[in-house]
Amino acid sequence: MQTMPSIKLQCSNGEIFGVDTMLEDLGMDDEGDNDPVPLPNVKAAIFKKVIQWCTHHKHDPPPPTDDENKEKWTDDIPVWDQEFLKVDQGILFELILAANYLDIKGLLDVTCKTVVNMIKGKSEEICKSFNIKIDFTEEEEVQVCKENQWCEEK
Amino acid sequence: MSSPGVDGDPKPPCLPRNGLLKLPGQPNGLGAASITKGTPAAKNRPCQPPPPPTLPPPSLASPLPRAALAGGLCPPPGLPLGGPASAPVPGPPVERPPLATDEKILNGLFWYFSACEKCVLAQVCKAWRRVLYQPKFWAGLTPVLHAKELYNVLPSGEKEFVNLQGFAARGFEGFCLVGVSDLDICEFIDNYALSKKGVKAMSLKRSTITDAGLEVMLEQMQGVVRLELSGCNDFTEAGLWSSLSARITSLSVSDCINVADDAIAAISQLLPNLAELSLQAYHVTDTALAYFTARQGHSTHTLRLLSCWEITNHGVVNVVHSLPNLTALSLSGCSKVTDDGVELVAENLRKLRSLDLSWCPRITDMALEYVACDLHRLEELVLDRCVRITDTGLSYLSTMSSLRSLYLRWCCQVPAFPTPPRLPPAAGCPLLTTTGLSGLVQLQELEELELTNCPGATPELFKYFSQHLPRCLVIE
Repeated sequence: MQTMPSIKLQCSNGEIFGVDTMLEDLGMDDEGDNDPVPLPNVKAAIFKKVIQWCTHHKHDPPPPTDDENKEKWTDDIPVWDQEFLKVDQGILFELILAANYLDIKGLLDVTCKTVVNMIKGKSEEICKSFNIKIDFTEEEEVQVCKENQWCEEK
Repeated sequence: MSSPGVDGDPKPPCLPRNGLLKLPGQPNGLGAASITKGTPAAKNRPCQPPPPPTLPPPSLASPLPRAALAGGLCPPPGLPLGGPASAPVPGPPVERPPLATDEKILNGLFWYFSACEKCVLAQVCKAWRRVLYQPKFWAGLTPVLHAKELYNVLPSGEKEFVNLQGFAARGFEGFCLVGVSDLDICEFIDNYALSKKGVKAMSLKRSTITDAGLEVMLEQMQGVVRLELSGCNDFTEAGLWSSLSARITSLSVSDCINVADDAIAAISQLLPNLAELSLQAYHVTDTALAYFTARQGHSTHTLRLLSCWEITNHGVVNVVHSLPNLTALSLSGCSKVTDDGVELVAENLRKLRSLDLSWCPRITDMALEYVACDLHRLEELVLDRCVRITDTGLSYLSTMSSLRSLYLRWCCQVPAFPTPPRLPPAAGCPLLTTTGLSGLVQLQELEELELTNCPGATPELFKYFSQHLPRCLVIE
């Protein structure tokens, strides 16, 4: 990855980070104002984690441009990343949002896969582990269950 | 969404400020949900900032306050977004990423799941179902619905057809119905919103569909271009004459007792755009294979004749002359076909990429010589249960550099081999020795090798393969 001059990024709480852009071009022109680039959607604590991940992966080859609309595997998360992502669910989702917002494909991929690996078991179990409220009425629940039986017979 | 009744407004929830009455929700198959969707009151209700969070919201399903505001005329939500820097643990619960409603995340996540898993995930909550019920997540899948699953029994004892809205939302292109009658099919057509134009493939298995039913089905379901009938014994050849439509590009008929030569006549006359035909019929004879027309000669690229016991080499003559553009041919179980028939195939169907001669007990090494000589584009060859093939045949095959997949299952006479040869899948051909199998090492492009039940396939052999054909999947 090419190194560019250091730029300043300002997180949602006002904190400013100087980064020698391991991240993608943030749309700045070459004249480079000294004003920090605002990142209102990224909190400082999350951004620190992002920088940490990017630093560790800075010598990675660029990720393949895979076809978005294709089934993907989840059993190929590097060990370092697995450890790195042993964090609270909330942080994990924030990382997904940040990776998406900052367009860091590699980080987005491993964070998604980590979450996917946590989504296991029956729907009730999933609801519990992610604290999701089941908002179907009883009739709706019967209906959605019925219209998804067909796959179980494979 | 906040209702006017919540934030200190004295009016009861059902009467929004402008006095419009909220109508009870119309039944839409989703139960009591979405009553407020589209009611006029929603648009007229003035915006209000959500109450400041005092208690943790019960779940991740609570939407971000910004989602509750319409049109940007309202004061910004009272969220401490610019407040103290977040701690590394989830701080105020309202800042927790709403996994359940962040559709962008969900849209990305759901690609990692199989069809069966997606069926479970759709039952988690409404937001997940909404995101999952998009056609892109179900492309290429065909639901299999049994007759008894198509009806709900009401308390009164009457039967009611199930709601198929959830299937329509997912945009399935094909359905497989099992054990259905004419009536069931008519009900399906009437009750499935997309039946007339949106269904491209229909498969009926072990069903009692009659000629009339077939006619109605194909007439009504104008989008159907792929049809499969399996184990349906109540329709006749007359039914095919009256129902087959020129738009059909793929037809599969198996284990239907009334299908014989006249069925092929109907197919050849009525289906000029037929690209793929799969036929399993004990009573079809050689003559019928001459019925195919010039149109089909042009359009048909795949022909599978499965366990057509009456077909002989004469039938093969008819096939190669009437369907010269075939790229895939199966004569599996056509037990009367001999090496001469294979010679005709090899000489005339030069475009073949896939050839299945499994369960043809009369095939010998000669056939493989013809195949190796002439079929230079062949990528897949199936020789399961061709019990007379020997090492000589293998040596012919090992010259075929185009081969990617080779199946020789149930070749049970291959003796042990000391040095690991490159062998194609040798499963069930009794006369193959390890030496012979070794010749196949020359097939550099080989990706799949099946050696089931092959005595000559020793551990040393497999080791040899793994060394010299690293890209090849060897199955024992």
